[in-house]
Amino acid sequence: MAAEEVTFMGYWRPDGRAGTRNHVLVLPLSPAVSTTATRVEAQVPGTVSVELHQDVGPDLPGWKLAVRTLRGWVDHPNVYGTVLLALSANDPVVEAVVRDLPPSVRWEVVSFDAAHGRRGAELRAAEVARAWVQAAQKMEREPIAVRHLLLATECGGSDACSGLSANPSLGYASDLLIQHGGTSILAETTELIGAEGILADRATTPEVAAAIWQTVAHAEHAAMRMGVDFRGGQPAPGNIAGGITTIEEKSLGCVHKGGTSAVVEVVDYAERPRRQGLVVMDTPGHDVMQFVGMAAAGAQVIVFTTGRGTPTGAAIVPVIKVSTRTELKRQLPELIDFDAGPVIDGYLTVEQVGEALWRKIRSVASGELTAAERWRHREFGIFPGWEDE
Amino acid sequence: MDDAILLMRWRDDAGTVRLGAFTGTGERVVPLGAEWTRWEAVQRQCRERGESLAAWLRPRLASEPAVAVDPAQWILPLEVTEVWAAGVTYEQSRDAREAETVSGHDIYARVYDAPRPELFWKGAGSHVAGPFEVIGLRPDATWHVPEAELTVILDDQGDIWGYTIGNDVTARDLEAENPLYLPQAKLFYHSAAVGPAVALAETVDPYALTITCEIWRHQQCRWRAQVETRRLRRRIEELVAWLGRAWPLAPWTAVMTGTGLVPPDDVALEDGDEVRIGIPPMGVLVNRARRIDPSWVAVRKPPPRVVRIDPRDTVAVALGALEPGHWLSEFGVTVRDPIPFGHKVALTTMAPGDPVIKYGAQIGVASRAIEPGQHVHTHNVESVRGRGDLVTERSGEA
Repeated sequence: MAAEEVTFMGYWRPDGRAGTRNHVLVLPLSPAVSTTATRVEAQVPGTVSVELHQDVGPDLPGWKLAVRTLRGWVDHPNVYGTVLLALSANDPVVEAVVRDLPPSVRWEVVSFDAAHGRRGAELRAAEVARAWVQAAQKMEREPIAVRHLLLATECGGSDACSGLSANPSLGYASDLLIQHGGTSILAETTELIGAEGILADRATTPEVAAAIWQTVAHAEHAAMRMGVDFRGGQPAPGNIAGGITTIEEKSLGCVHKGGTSAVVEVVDYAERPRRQGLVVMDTPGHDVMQFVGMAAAGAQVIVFTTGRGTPTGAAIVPVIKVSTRTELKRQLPELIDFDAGPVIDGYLTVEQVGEALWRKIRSVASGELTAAERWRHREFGIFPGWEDE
Repeated sequence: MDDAILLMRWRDDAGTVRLGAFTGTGERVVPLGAEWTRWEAVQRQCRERGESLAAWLRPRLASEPAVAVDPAQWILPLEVTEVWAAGVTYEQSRDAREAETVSGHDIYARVYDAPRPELFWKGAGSHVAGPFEVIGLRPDATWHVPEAELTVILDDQGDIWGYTIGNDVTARDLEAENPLYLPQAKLFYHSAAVGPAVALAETVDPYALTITCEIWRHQQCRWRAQVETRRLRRRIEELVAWLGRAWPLAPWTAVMTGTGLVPPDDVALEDGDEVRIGIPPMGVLVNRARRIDPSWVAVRKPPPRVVRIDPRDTVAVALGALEPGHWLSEFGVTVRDPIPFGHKVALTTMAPGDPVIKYGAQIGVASRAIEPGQHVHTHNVESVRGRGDLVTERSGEA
């Protein structure tokens, strides 16, 4: 390996992690204050907000994952500070989200009750956010070793080329990151069905292998109980027409976006990896819930391969959209950041495109805006878990 | 030295090519009579009269009315016949190239110090981009960079006539992979851009200029750097003299003098990027990058490929429809069935029950005998349904 350290231009955080962005986040903790969050974002340039569409409470399904996800967004290396909006400061979700946050995390709760209503809350939230934006803009990017990067991988709207161009190219880039000491997340448990054996073989320990089998079995079992048979209809007729013969083949094309590195750990939804290398995260296949969970784990860059195109984006993490074919990039130039199509056209190999994607990842980590950021796509949704608990 | 005299051309609303000269920024130019469409002819006339072009122009610039020309109407300042370029003429260029090349042997360091410079062909003038025209990116390379260079224009006698701005677009990945790929790294459609104005040689000091290069992507400046031409290691006359030693210099040749601006290794030109190179007083050369493809220029697509994703695979994937009889030389297999795009072709003989391997792993088992060259799909493969112990066992053997 080259002795010279490969770096990106990022922001150091007090906890030793590094940000690729320096956002001031306005985060609603209840659907009732989502509109207020959006209004604050509109009033204070330089802030980002999301809309929360689900009620979060200890008596509601998905409570544990919701709290972990919201905490992960507040305690995120891409976030300079978070204004938490709530109806009441006594709301259990407020206490659960801020409890024991490390002292390095910058946050303030603005509640309707303490601020005497909606107008007061909006003014106070804007005031805090404005001061933080000013301070955040004074910070400068510094060269930071790429081993501090946590890359999230995702695919959505797969086509016959996904497993041939975009996913293997992403796998190659992910392997390069891991060779440089970084970490990648491979998620989408339902897509792993059929490829769990391959992944388990690549596990570093028997415990990790067992966790892979168990995680996939759990998701599958939950789906069966819901009356969904993943495998019966898999691969879909469109996949078969495109040349995909079996569910194993489809899954292998999908897990190829995780490259060929050893699997060092299996983590739960929104859980922060503890090891460096390829990490499997238990998430559903739904695009938004998947990247929201990976972002909550601290991912600073997301790469999303697609055969159909999708506009979605995460408020605090850049999402690089990779097209499987050049035709798609031509059809949706404003949605696609990177084209893996030259592999299909015969111009370039997977290795060449993977190398170029690795360059793109570093460029975006250093501040290049992605399509989803330019169009301010801020989708948000939290996975409630595989079954009611 | 008086103000530099700058020469430009534009295409007016009627589509006629016009000549203009100016001092200063070029917001307003003094048009020459409509009978003049080429600077080459103006220069010839001056020479016949024994007068320098600068001396002929200067009183006109002082007395004749100037007009504003829409920047979009500016075209190549003259019709260059050939474009040549020099390499490794700045210290920074030497260091960057030496770091990235895999061939070793200090070739860049040696050429930097050697008497003989690196000189290479950048194409015929007909394939050069002018102001605001598209610069090309090879579809089979992934790491293009602009090279912002002071560019010399030689007159019809091979003498240095003027200076302009040049962009020596380079496929850095090809150059780094193997020095023998240099011609392909340097020469492709619109890999050179020149313009927008030429400063007459006698009115400008080429070693007292500042070159700025910027890459813009989606209204964001992705990279910016600056260098002064006093850091140019070789004399410009020396570069031209080497080129002329064994090559009859064509009249109106452009020679790029090498770059001192090398982007960091995470910067690569992308389709749609805008490159802006400024060298006052010659203005700013602006070009948009575009991936070369058959939809806008007559280039050929490569033939369809058949890829084996992992060396262990018993099947390959057709990235283009294949007809029976097609010989896959890479695998020594003749295609037996029509294979649609994205479908699999067998590379080995598989008996019923044998594993079918793709991505280096089992995707199912043969449900009937499969011969090399046959279509491999649901009619002759069945799933063993994931879950399994079988998968673990088999891939453990592989």
